[in-house]
Amino acid sequence: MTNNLMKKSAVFVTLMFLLATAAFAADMDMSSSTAESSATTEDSTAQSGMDMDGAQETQEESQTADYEVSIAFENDTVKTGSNEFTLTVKDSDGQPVTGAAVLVTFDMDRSSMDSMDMSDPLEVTLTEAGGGEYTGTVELSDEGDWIADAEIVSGDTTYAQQLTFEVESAGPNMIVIGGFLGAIALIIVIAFLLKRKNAKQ
Amino acid sequence: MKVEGEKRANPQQGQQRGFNFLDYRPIAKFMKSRWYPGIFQVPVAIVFTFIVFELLFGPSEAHDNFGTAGTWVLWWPLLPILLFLFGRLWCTVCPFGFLNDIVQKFVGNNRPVPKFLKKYGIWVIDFTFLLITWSDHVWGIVESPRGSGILLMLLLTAVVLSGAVFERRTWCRYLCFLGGVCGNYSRAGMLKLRATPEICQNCTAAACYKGSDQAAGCPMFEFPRTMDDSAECNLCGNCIKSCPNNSITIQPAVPTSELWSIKKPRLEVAFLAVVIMGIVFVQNITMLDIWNEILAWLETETGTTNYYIIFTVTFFIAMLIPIVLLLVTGWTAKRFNRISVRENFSKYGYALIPLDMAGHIAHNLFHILAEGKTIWYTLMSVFGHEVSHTSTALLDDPTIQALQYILIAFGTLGSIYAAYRISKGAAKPKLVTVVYGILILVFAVLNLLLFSMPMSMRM
Repeated sequence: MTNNLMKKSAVFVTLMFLLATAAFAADMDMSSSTAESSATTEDSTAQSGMDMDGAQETQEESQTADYEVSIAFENDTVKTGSNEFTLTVKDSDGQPVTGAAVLVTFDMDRSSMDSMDMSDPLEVTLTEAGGGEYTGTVELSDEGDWIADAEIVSGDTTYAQQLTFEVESAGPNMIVIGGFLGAIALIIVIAFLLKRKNAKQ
Repeated sequence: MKVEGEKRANPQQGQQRGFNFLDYRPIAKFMKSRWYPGIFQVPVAIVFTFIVFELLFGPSEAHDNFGTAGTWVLWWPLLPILLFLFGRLWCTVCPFGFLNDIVQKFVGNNRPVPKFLKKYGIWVIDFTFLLITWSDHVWGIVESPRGSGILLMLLLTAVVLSGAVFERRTWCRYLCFLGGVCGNYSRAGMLKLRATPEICQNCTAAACYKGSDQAAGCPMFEFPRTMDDSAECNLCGNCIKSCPNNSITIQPAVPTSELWSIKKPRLEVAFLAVVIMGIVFVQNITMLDIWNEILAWLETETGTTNYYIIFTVTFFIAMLIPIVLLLVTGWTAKRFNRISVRENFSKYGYALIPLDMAGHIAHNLFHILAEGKTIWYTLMSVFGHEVSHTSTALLDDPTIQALQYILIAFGTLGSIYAAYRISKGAAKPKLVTVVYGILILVFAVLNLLLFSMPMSMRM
């Protein structure tokens, strides 16, 4: 019986570790150096907020003389942590601009900051996903107003565009927390029942 | 299993046992009282609960979260210092151990420790310590309050399971990922608990191990009579309370003295000592400003931008370098001391512990001294007071760097002296000391080089 219990315990611990690993991978922030040094090539169709006429809170759209540039994040609400985003670049005729080199520098809007926290600006080089879309990942450390300075180099011409968006604080993952609390409660109940059973024997 | 013993005064007390803190009545009375160690455990458990709550539900940014500051800027840097000064006293106070005791008291089934854990427990600890260090770098656990919170929840669950199923503090002895580090640093520390052999030789009660009506048996499965180091002693006071003969002493120890008097060096302990050297290197390198340049170079050389792959390779190499260097040194020393490479590795791995500890403390000294004020700022913000500030530093960088160099110098001397004492009694001790001294100096120079470069902050 002891061995059986131990085997079950080992299986349980393994499962808990896998659960935590999944939680880390799904819920947590990837290291900031990853975000800073590389851009992802996620399928842009999986992203929300791409409708140019939509009323997305996280999407800001601006017109320049020649280009129309917009930024959209994968989630409706941009939260602190790792965020995938797509920059869409179109020319004055509404045709996608392809083959451009796109660099976006993210920085907090210093004028709106309450505290003295100073995060360094983050530079992200984007990867072209086709159809005038360029994708990347950025690690946004603080809640508040952010500015994205996009620099688009196409041929011999460089275009700069400033976009603003708001970042909210990422809340706790209640599913993960509830999972752990449930597991702890289950262990205690089973242990109590086993102890009582053993005491009767 | 409870053993009752007649308490009697020890006629030899304080005479042949050297300086003993327990010869001072207030200290002995306190450690034998029912208030010890609860008087430390309860406040720490309350603070810990608050920290876990903050990590899970507080601000999601590390530099605003008191849980992050309390854990990684205060507790983690203080831990190796506490271990050096007081041995594994922290393990008695530790909220995880306290939780284990509570769960065990109410629903514990007190199953014996599996043979597998008894045999390979330290290897399990070594492996999980490496795994958690790796996870931190890949997923940014320290930098993420939620990540730190999830890690603590995972540990809490495992501790509850261990306390509910197994006897005593199986978790602390065989499973806690910090147990190996705590054990190693305690060996080099300044405090030791021992039994008095002359008194114990006539004892048949063994209340220190089995327990008595005064206290439970040793939670760490130790028998003080046969203990030859402090690696597994929590200073919980149970043996002091239980011993009917007042055999237990708590004495000051010459730092590192236990490292050269180990009777049976263990490969897994030496392995941990060596990989900690690698871990300190990794911790330092990844926090340097040049890390991004190294990362870019690695991306070019390996042809991948996948951080998992790049960091895993870097981590593996960083662990492998000190292991290979110690093996090569052991192979060289074998020509002089005529013991096998494996035995050389096991014995002299212990000699690296003082430098390990110095490097660990020096690295974290930066965090506590350069970011120390964040503890206060984040605590104030919990109560709704935002403190405007321009600096989080308690001391300026050059002063911190000077302290780091001094620590490395002490660690280097401690390690070389330990190597010298370990060599005594074997063939050609001076030559062997020189061989290992060169290795220790190489590690010391690497440490100094890393500490000379600007490091990024945690908060």
